[in-house]
Amino acid sequence: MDSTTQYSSVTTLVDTTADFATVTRYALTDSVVEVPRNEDLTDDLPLSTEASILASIRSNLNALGWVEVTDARATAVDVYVTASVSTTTNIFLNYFWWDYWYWYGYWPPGWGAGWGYYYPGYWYAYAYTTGTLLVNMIDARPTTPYAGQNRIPVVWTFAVNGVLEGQSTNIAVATAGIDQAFAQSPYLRGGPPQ
Amino acid sequence: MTRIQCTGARRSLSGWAAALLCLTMLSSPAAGQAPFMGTFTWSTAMPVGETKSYIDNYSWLGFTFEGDWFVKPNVSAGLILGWQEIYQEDDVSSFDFPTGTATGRTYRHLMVIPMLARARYWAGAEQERTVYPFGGLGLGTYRVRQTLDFGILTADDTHWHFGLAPEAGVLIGQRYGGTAFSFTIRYNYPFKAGDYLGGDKAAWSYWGFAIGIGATPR
Repeated sequence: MDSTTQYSSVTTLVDTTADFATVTRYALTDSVVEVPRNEDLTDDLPLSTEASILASIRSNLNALGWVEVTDARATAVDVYVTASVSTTTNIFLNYFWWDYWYWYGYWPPGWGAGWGYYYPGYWYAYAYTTGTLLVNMIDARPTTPYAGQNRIPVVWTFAVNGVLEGQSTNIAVATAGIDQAFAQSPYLRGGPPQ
Repeated sequence: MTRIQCTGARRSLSGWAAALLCLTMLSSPAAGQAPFMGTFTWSTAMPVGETKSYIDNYSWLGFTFEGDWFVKPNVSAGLILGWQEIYQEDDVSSFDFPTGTATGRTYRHLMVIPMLARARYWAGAEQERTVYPFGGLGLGTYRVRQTLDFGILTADDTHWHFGLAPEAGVLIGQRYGGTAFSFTIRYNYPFKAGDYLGGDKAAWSYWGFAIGIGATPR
């Protein structure tokens, strides 16, 4: 099977008003969150898969010419990139969001519980199925149109279905899907959306 | 019995198929004793129009059961009950929409069940021969199910259509009291109807090419 056909589907959504041309620095979270978390906070996702997912995202972001910032509180970044995997069906996008407040330590001061969220298009109603990798790109710049509105501006997001169909295929499915998500989003390189 | 069926058939649009059958049978005073020919065909399909836009793939999977009563030597009335699969699988297809793109394996499928009444005219059938060209018109309903699998997601819609099916072909063999082979070209045109995936009506038309074997009881 060709690597591009291992995932079952890849969906990307973009905020068409977002300015990607001026993005130069990004921060990538250091874990792939499983949603929902197990009661004992253990993870089902193999660490090797988690590392491969993050490495693949990082590789694609670097290929855009962007530079990774590892301490987003010390150095301002243009975008945050987060990753999570659903382990149950019917997970909604906004559900994903709140998990991040509990573990990611580099959000800008002031971001937190009580803020709303803003996703492009109709993602509010998007239901995820078991084994979906979801990656969000959040605009962190003060010039974002949503600055001051208590909104977390998700400007680009993608979902890869089929990530948990079999542990032996997790890595290949996830990385092939990540590559496809970037390949079908040329506007990240600064061109016009779509 | 035939006359009662015809009266009822005229009451609704979908009854026109039955009306067509009845009218052709009534054209002969000997309709009740009309010779019968039953045919089983292997039916293939070439999508056209909206069908081709959805599935651009020739289908080799389908069949029909057909029955014809010869109300005159050169006129028959009959029924068609069929099953036609039209499908296409793509490893990777991409769909662009205003705020994004979706890529994945797709499987597109149409299952079409034609249920038609048919009248046929047989050229030169007044004389005994072994090759009988014919032309006909089917009229009736189509049951169509549209399915789209995308990745691990699936969606489907099923609707009824009123439709027409002009046809032409040739029968080789014995029309009365024996067996014969048929080759038929039929244009299946279910009229635009339904509320299919994407929210639009559709006319799922296709050319049918069929090879059949017919039996005519002595």
